[in-house]
Amino acid sequence: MSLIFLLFLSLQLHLSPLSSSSSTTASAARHLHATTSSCPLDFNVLRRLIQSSNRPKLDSDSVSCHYIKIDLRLVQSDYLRTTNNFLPPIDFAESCWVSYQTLINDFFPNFNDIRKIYGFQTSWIAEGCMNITTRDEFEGNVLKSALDDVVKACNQSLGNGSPCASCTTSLSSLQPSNLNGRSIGNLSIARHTLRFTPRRLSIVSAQPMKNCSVEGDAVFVHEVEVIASVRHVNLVALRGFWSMESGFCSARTDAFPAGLRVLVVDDDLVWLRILEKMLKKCSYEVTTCCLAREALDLLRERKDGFDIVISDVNMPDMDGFKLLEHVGLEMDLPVIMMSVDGETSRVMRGVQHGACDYLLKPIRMKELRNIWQHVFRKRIHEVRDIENLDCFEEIQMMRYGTDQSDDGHLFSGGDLTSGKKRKDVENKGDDKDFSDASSAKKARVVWTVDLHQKFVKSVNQIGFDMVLSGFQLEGDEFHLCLAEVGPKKILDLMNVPWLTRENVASHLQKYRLYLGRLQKENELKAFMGRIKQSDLSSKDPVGSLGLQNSIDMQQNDVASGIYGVPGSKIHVQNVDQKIHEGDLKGIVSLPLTEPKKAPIRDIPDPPKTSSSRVELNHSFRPLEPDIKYIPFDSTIPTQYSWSEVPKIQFKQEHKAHLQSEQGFNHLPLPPSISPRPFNKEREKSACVEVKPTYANCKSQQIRQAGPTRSAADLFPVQSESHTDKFSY
Amino acid sequence: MERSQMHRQLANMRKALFDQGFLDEQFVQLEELQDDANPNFVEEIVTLYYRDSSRSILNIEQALERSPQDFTKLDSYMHQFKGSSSSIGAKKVKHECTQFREYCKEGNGEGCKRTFQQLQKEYSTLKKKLEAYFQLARQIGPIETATRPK
Repeated sequence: MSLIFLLFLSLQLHLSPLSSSSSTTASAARHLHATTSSCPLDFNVLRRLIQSSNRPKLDSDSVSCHYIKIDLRLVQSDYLRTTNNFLPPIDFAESCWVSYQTLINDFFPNFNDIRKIYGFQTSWIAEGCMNITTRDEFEGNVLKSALDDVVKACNQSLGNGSPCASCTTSLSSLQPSNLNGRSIGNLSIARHTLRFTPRRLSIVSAQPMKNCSVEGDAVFVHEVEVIASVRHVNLVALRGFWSMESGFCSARTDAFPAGLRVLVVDDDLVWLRILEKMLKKCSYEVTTCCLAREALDLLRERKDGFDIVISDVNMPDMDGFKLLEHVGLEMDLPVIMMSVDGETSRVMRGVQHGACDYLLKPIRMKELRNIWQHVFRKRIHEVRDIENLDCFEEIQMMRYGTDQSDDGHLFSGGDLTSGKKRKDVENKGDDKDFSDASSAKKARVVWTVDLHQKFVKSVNQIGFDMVLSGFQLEGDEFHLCLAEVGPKKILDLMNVPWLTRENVASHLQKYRLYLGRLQKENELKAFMGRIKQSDLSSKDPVGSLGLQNSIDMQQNDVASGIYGVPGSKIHVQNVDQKIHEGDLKGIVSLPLTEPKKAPIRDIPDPPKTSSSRVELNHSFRPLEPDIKYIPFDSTIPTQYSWSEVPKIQFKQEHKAHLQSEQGFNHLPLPPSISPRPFNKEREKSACVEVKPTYANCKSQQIRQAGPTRSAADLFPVQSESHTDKFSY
Repeated sequence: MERSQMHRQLANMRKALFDQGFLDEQFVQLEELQDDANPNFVEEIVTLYYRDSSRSILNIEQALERSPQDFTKLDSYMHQFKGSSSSIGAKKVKHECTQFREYCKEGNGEGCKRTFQQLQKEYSTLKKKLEAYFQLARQIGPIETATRPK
């Protein structure tokens, strides 16, 4: 269980009768809390958010940790807003932690001592990095003109195209020019300040949102305040993001790119040593590893432990490309491949497998010095993702957090249809229309849930056709076939007039990567003997691998929030609301999944699956793989998230709802979150230490290849030969 | 002075290693990595190389004796060895590696064997030369760092 589960619980309160009793408890606690604590931070801000926000349910420590950070940042930001101080006096650190713990325990009684669990230091809650304590100090450090720019960019109507994007862009340009201190984290607080600096501006800019507003109007002012506090969340999240990367859980200070955490994987000990030395000279934090499998285990264990991976292509225990694929898809870390071979085909293969760079040995230090750019590039994308989520949270806040506003009161146009209804269920139809409209408006394709769904349907249809026509395709072959069958056919099946072949092609590529990852998980599942879903194979008369694949695809699709046809049917049945025709229209039905079976399989899956993804990415991203697609494109229309994310949310809510009805009987275990029994052992192994001794490294190799195989070991045969090779 | 003579001798040895094509600029890279934390970094790496690669040499030797020859395996061994050799900038050795792999591609077992003999020769020649070089460097090394104004 985790904190997040608790947070997520709050959204169920909206649906369940428990709601009233829980909120009574909460308000009682709030009362108590207010009278007992001396901490100047107001944790009730958080309480309101927890009650109003629909966060995805995520069961993993790294994610919980992340949310804790976000939570604390939110509270700190509120403190900044109300007091103009960034952080409470250090004397209050202890009491503030206690307050936070109290809040957590209100919702999640057994979640004791978060500080101990996640390694937060007590002082951290009251410590900044840049020695800026007040807003004035911050503003004194920034050029007036730069400040004005940012204020202008950040104080915009939410109704504008992409307020978050322009704000963050202006902020990021502010950072290098004006603040060359150590911290990015604090700057993000600064971001927050900027947003709130001239509240007047905020009001002015908010005016268009309410057509006939008058300054001084009490209600309007209140609304503006809500907007402000909502934007707050944004910045907090952003700030949380920046510091998240620098790993507040491990209490690291950020001086990016110094301290970049690099994992080097090479079976060549000489190169391993040289690279270690080179990277250290670049002020990077280096971990070396002489076995690919070892590296993979290490990465899985320490999910937030590395920023980038450098791996050799040829390794005896596992093909470097394979490792690359695992890392790229599971951990979503940038991977640099290296080899002494510069053959175009090999380099191409590396790039195809997702390498962000391909270095030729002998590698020069100047090449390594520059690797931070890959990490940075990824961070930019992630900020954008978070931004999208933020905007989504804004909507959520609008919807739940505003006490006085009537439905859609704040929104002038039809733009924010989703905000119009207080109850999620009522939204389904509108929502759909909106997302279609917004995507159609853009010249560039936004892959909305609907669109992606159509895409998936078409792909599945093709896959099924292939099975029917006698192909029994397995794994890569299937994917290969997908690529060959090509975007053209998918496009035809999708039947979306404005979509081009190129759009589909690029989307297909991403989708294939995604499937690849899922398939790897399935392989793993098979090896671990954890396939408990025997119902699938036993009930399935065909049972061919190709078919199995399609089913998995379908299932995973649903799991990740893009509900399949059966899923939609369930929603319709349960919700008993407007049928969203678009979802079902024009989609070839999938005979693969029997509707009766679907609810059982679909429902317990989603939270688990998405949680595992979150865990790997340690960001908000996992909400939905589609979000991932955004950063691949050049610009981000904010509408996307506004229309898209709440919708996903609804799905999750329904699923959660159903889940509570049906119980957890069918809860399957996705492989990636299962605990690894050999963790402890691995921790001690010399091979994964920052400074390995070579003798140990070798013995490690032998041990690895020995009969005590780890459960996750995918390649027993290869490693046998490896044993042969490395033993003396 | 004797010390400056030794210095000159060391410099000449080093220069010869480059001039005669034994080493390439990777060796310079290693020298640049040498610092207070690892004052003998280059020697450490070279030692590591010779210790580590002897296994590759053995592997290749055994694989060459087998018949029929498994060229894929030979190539993969040689690839690994070439990677190692590139780490210290063993230019001549690397050249033989490339040649060897060419023969692997052609399936020319005789060529492989011939090249491998040449490779072993270069491999041990370089070893001797580097050993002598480091020995001399050790003799004057500490004095050099001590007298360097920094």
